[in-house]
Amino acid sequence: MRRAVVLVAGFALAGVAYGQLMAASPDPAAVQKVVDARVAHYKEIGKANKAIRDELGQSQPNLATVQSNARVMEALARQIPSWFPSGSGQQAGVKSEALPVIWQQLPAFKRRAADLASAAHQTADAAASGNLDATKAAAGSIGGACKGCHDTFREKK
Amino acid sequence: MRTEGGPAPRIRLWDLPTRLVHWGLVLLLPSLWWTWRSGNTLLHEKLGYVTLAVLLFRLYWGVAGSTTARFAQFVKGPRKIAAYLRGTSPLPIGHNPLGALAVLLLLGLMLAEVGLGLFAQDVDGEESGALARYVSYDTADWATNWHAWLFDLLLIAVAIHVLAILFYLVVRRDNLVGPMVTGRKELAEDLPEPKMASIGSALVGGILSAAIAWWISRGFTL
Repeated sequence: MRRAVVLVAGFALAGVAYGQLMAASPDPAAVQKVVDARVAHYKEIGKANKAIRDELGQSQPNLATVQSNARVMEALARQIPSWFPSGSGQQAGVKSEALPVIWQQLPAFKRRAADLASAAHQTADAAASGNLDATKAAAGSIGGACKGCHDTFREKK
Repeated sequence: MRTEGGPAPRIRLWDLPTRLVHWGLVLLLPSLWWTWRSGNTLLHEKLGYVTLAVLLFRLYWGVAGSTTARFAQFVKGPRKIAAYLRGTSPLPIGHNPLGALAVLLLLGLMLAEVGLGLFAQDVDGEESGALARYVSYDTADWATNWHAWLFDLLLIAVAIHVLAILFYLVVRRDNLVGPMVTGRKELAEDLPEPKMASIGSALVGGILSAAIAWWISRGFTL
């Protein structure tokens, strides 16, 4: 009799635990979609960054090109926190370079994203003012913002 | 010159430029790996341009260098390679027909690796190869991935190269490392000595290679 009670209780507990587990870990296919979209967004940032860098590497940079790409980058950077819903990290079966520390230190992560948005904003403003040196200096802080975040929150290859 | 244990003729096998290229690459490869691994991308790039110059020089030396450095002298077809493997061909001076394949493989992989690096970009968007600005983001991304994958292939090729040298040392009782350091080798029989190229020829090649590598590192601008 006692054994039966223990057995039933055990099954009940296991059932509850299983239910909790399923609720806590969403469908891997859904997470994969989030990760894929995130990677695509970051590539957009990378493209804007490359366009800015390549333009500023020219002998006669077109600051309008720098400005438009910096605005695109700023808009994307402001969205960064929304690309990281909780549970979209390195789940079983989902490959991602987004480290768990993102969700453990979410405020710090959001500050890093804001750093990039502000670097892009300053670059766009400097480019709009037509000051090449100021544009180059501001653009220089974009790479630092990327690295500053990657060093902590992105898995090293 | 010391002539130990009898009158074995000691000939000049590898000239100084060939040895410098060889040991230079031995130093550059781990340095390139380390600078990348430790995140020192700027130094990684600079060392990459040095490697490019060294490889360009080796190509020049493969045409204008001493006989043992020339591709036309040591690169053989499948029939000669098979004969060497069967042991029916006379012992060659310098690279044997099979070793020639290793030279081509290593040089080819290193050239491809450096070439891809010229178009590669780092994840932080701070640094990129000198020619990355001439291609799209996606192409640079592609080059970056292949730059990483090819390095693993290069490591495998280096491992084969080192294992082959160990095989010659242990099984064939033939020390290949010594001559690559001193440039000299004792031959068991009298064979025609390799013809050494002049220092002037090496200087011309060195200056040319350095100039071309520098120009590429500037993205073809002056």
